[in-house]
Amino acid sequence: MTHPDTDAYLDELRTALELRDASDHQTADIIRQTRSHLIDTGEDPYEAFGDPRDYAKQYAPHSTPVRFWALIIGSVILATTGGWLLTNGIINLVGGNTVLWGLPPVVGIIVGSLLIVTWMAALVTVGVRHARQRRIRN
Amino acid sequence: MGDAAWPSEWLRGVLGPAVLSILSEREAYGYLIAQRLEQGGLGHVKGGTLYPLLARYESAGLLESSWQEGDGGPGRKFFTITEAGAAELSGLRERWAAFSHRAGALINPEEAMR
Repeated sequence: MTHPDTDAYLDELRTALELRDASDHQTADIIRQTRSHLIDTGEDPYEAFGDPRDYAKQYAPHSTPVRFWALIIGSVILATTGGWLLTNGIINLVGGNTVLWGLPPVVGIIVGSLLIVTWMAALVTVGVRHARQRRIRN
Repeated sequence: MGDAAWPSEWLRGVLGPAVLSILSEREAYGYLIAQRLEQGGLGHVKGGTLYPLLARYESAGLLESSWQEGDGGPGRKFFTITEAGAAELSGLRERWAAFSHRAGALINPEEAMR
């Protein structure tokens, strides 16, 4: 006989793990193990495992500060390099010159464009992820 | 002395070696390990303490785990000790013997003199 708060607790725990960016596999494993224990013991989940947010923290500490700085540094590198290659490629295409290492200007345009597209895709991915986390929190 | 009397700081220090020792005898799942700890006189160890420890040991390569299906339930996650875990336990056992002897002599010198 499981405690009546078991399902509510597991829902809260799942949300807390998702907010901490635990992988789907890790989340499923922790939820299954917690449910298994609660079925075996019939314990009050809040007594046995504590606040679900604190419990989730023990498995998946936040990595937000690291991701934030990685995004900033990555943005600077991708946008600067991509913008320079693209601009340089266009200017040299018009002037009929070569870009770095004697490569044709069209290579600079393609590589520069790819870097800028990668940068924009990363920004969109982070934005979508952030919006999803905010939706889960609410 | 009742089981509930052990200070939590003591339990934190002894829990890891005790879990490895239990698993060195045979594979077990979380609730079974908790029962063995209680039977061994360490008191009731909450799931919120035990499972993160098991996860840390698994990440460190001291334990391995596998799910075994139950009858209609979520199944049980069984843990087994690895070679690295057995080596870690062997080292801990040796050091624990020396540590407990020295700590005992300091805390209770009259007892140690007998």
